[in-house]
Amino acid sequence: MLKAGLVNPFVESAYKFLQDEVHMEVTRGQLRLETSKATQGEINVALGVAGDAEGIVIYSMSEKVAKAIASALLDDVVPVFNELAESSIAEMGNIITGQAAAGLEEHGYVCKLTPPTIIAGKGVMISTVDIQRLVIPIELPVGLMEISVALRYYNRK
Amino acid sequence: MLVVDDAMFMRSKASKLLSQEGYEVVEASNGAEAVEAYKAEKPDLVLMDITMPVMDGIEAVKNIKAYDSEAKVVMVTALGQRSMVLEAIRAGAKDFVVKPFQADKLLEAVKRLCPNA
Repeated sequence: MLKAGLVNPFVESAYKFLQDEVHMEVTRGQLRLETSKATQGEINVALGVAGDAEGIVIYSMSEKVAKAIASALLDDVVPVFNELAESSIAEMGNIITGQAAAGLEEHGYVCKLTPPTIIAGKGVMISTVDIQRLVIPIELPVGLMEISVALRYYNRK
Repeated sequence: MLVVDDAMFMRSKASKLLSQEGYEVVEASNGAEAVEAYKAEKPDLVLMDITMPVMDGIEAVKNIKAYDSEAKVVMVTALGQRSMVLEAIRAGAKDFVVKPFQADKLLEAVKRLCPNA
C-alpha cells in the first residue's frame, strides 16, 4: 500500500506550480491505480526516476490543456503546439517532479531524474512493465491533467 | 553571461531577463556545449541547469572549474533536494536558485557574484 507521504509531494508541487505559475484554480480528482498501457492524453511528458525510488512519472493532457498551460507560461497565445510550447510543457514536468523529489527526500528517499521526454499522440501506449501506475487527476478550468506515478520504493535512509 | 539549460523555454526566459538588464548572453543546451562555450567566451557568470542530456550540470561545473578555478557558476534547477545542493556546491557552484525562479531572486544572485558586470 502506497503511503500518503509518498503521494503528497507530487500533489503539492503540482498544485503550487499550477496555481503560482499557470494561475489556474486546481481541484484534485479521485486517485486510482492502473495497469493499462494506454494514456488518456494527446500530450504526455515522461520523466525517469532513479535512486531510492525508481520508475517513471508521466504528465498526460489533451492538446487543448497543453496549449492553455503553455500560453500561461509563455505569457503569449499558443495557437500551434510548437517547439517552444513543447519545451514549456516539458519544463513544467521537470519542475513539478523536481520539487516532488525534494519532498520525497524529506521522507528519506533520495532520487535523481532524467530529462523530460514529450510523447505526443492519442491513446499512446506507455508500459510501466510491472509497476502499477498511481493516477492523480488534476482538474483545471481548461480540462484535465493526469499525473501517473509509477515508482518502486527501495531502502529508506 | 552563459545560460545553460536543455529547455528552450527556460533559456529564452533567463536570456530575456538578463538582456533586459543589459547583460550580454550566450546560450548552451547541455553540459558539453556549456564547457565549450565557456572556453570560447569566458563569461563572467554561468547559470547552469542540472538535469540535461549529453552531460549534466554537475559534471559540466566540474569540467569548467578544472579549466578555470575562478569560474563563477550559479545552479538554476528544478531539483531542490538538499543532497543535490550539496553535490553542486562540492562541484564548485557558488549559488543555487530553484526553478521556477523569481526574476528578482535570479538577478540578486547575478549581481551578488558579478557586481561590476
